[in-house]
Amino acid sequence: MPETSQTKTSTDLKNWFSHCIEENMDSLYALGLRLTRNSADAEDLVAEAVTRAWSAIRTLDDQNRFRPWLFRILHNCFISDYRKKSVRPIETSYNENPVADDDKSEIATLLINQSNEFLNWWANPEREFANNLLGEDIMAAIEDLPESFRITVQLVNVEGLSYDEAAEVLEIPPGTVRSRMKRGRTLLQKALWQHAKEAGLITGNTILECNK
Amino acid sequence: MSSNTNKPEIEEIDCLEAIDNLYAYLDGELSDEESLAKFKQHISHCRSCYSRSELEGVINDRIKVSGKNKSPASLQKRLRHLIDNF
Repeated sequence: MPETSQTKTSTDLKNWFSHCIEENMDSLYALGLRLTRNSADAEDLVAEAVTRAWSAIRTLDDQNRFRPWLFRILHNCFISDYRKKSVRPIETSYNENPVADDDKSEIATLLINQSNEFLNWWANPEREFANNLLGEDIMAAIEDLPESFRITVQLVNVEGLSYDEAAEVLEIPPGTVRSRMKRGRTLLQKALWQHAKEAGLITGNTILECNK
Repeated sequence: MSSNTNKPEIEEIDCLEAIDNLYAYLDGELSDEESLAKFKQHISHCRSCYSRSELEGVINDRIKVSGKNKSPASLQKRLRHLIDNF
């Protein structure tokens, strides 16, 4: 019979919990930073999440699900405590319903209001752009994304969670995670393009040639 | 001698449908075989979508590295102290 949090002795459970937290400290801190965008607040958020996780440890049925379970607690702490106290302006809310499965693709909907200049580049990015793109530029652009996209990109692209696991953390349907990835990454492209244009990294002589 | 292997034809998709599936593909979430085959077929002959896919792959790799943050020593100490007192 597999060992669960309910069947471990208190000492074993505490040792196991301590080990898991050690392994996930960097991930927790990075998630906290993406949510709060502030180091001191991120530390407080992580400490609160770890305290709550320990209080609820006996409710964890499957120890293999520890990471999404822990990340969900962190996210809930952020929503219930930090966000309420935050003086930051409320971010624009987006319609998150996945687009119905009809003739119109979701990407088409996302691109519909973009400028032709961006669309031309979007359809045919220059190789030099990828070479010149720095990790710091990308992260700066991610920091400017609305919170729901920042956290979803962090969970999937950095922490390597599946869409189902990210959905479990954020308590949203997996289809919404898929949607957020598309929308978040399209917004990210727009920000990177803007940045590259200002920095002179894009020559601007791209052509729209795809259409098959 | 005929080498007809009776391979089923893969239905062509357009760029928007391919890009619609791009992130799921890069994230290892495009699991249904038909969608995967259609996507791969499209980027094998569409230069623009291939370029976009390459660029998104580079961005994914950079996010994976740059999105990691080392937890500060102060937080590590605080958490260890916290757990010791549970």
